[in-house]
Amino acid sequence: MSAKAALLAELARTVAAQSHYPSLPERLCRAAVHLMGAAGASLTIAYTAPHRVTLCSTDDRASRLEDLQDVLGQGPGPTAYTSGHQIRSEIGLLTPRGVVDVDARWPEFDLAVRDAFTAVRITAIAIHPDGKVMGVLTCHQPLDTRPLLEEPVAQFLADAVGVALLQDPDSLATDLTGPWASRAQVHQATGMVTAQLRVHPEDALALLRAHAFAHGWTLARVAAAVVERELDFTDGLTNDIAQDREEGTGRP
Amino acid sequence: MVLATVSGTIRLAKGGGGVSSPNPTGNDLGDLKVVAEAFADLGSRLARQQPADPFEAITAVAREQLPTAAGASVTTLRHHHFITIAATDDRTRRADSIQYELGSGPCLDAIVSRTMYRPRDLRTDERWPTYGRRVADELGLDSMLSYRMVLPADDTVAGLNLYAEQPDAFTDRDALLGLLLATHGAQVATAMFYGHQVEQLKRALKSNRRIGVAMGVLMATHKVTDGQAFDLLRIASQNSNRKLAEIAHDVVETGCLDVAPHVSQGPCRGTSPSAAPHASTRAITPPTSRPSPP
Repeated sequence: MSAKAALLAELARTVAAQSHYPSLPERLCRAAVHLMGAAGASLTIAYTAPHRVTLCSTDDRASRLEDLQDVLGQGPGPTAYTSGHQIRSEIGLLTPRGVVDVDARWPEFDLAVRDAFTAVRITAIAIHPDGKVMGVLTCHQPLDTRPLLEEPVAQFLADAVGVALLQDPDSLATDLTGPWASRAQVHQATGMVTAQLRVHPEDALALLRAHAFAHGWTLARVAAAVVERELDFTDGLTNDIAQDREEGTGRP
Repeated sequence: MVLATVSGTIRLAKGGGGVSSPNPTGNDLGDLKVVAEAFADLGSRLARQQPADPFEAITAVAREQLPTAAGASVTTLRHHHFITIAATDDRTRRADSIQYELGSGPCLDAIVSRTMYRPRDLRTDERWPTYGRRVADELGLDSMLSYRMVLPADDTVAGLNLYAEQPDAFTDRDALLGLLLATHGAQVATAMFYGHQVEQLKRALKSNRRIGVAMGVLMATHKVTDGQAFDLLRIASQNSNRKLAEIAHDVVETGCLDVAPHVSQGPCRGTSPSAAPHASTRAITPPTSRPSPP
């Protein structure tokens, strides 16, 4: 009990020390990075749902890790969100023999991380202040370091971050500014592809993700290209899809 | 906080002489059974209620589990005023309102001083002389139990009140059971508050997504900008007096947008499960000026 009280006090102090960051999610995220002894972190609501939104990524690597998990639909983040558990994993590892040791749970994500920036240690914690999962706090750090907080304390931290978010109407005001704006473009691109290909929005989003994966782009970049009309799925891809369907391979 | 209150109650139990039992083990189990039943009752009431109100459920369970109680209520402090947010009956509400009127009473003090009070005889209790006499004379309520409920969720300050018609009606066991209900009930209310907030957030996110997707459908179909697409949705919403998210849902489902005033159904509504990029026969006229993006 006293350890939790001390952690809450430390969280409050650390959040207060981040006063130069205007948004509460960013201050909370950076405070969590500090308390976990991590290199960076992301805070994402409704992780595996189409309406997900990343409220904050403290650095490029955190942002890229979040995007890869969104595009691939796998990784510690999605698993933490769907299971409600805390996932601690080493991603992108090489065995001593030099053989690629892919985590069987997230093979594509493991390979993508290795390609992007070699190995990393990820701690993904489901945020559930009321028992229902609302999002995930995903911390990353180098392999030769470890999270400063044990699992139960880290869980308490993540839930406290969730409570702080829920108590601040501004941080969750779903206007189309800040983090909501970038996701809005993904939604708009989904709608454009929905109209261009006459497919269901879920399939349109899957197509955008597939395109991001195939080209090594972020989902946000693909969405921007569609919205800016630099990328149009009407022509070539319709034929591809038709062909794939005839061959029984489903979506491209 | 909770621990402090528990220890306070234990001291109180010793001072009051306690309840001796010839068979402590059997009695302990019996008490546990009562507590377990009370909590289970609370859960099932909340599952049945629509919309679920934790405070209504807590007062109902308290009244049921403590047969000596004539009534139960929950007081809260909102905008610097005490109000009763749940009560089992009118007499209990009136007893509460006498406290608010006088600005004095066991419940108000329990809330303010963060503890519990157990006035055994309200007619003679010197801590709340005016309140005690009035509630006894006017309403026939002679003893009370008052607890502060700790609700960290939204800074709500609340208290649970139990009233009885006889002096010293509540036993030590009653006082402990009431305490368990107040603390457990506060946890339930807190969890429900967070749950409600999370649901609200998810609804807002879904609504945002639907509007964004509908904007994209219009942007692709009618070659308009994001700002113009949003304006079309907004105009259609205003003209039909329907919510933006509902209009967006129709656009995503049918690919059509009806911007004509006072018509609720678009002509190609339901033509396709996914968006069909055909313009409605009620023509859409994209705004000529480029509005600022939403």
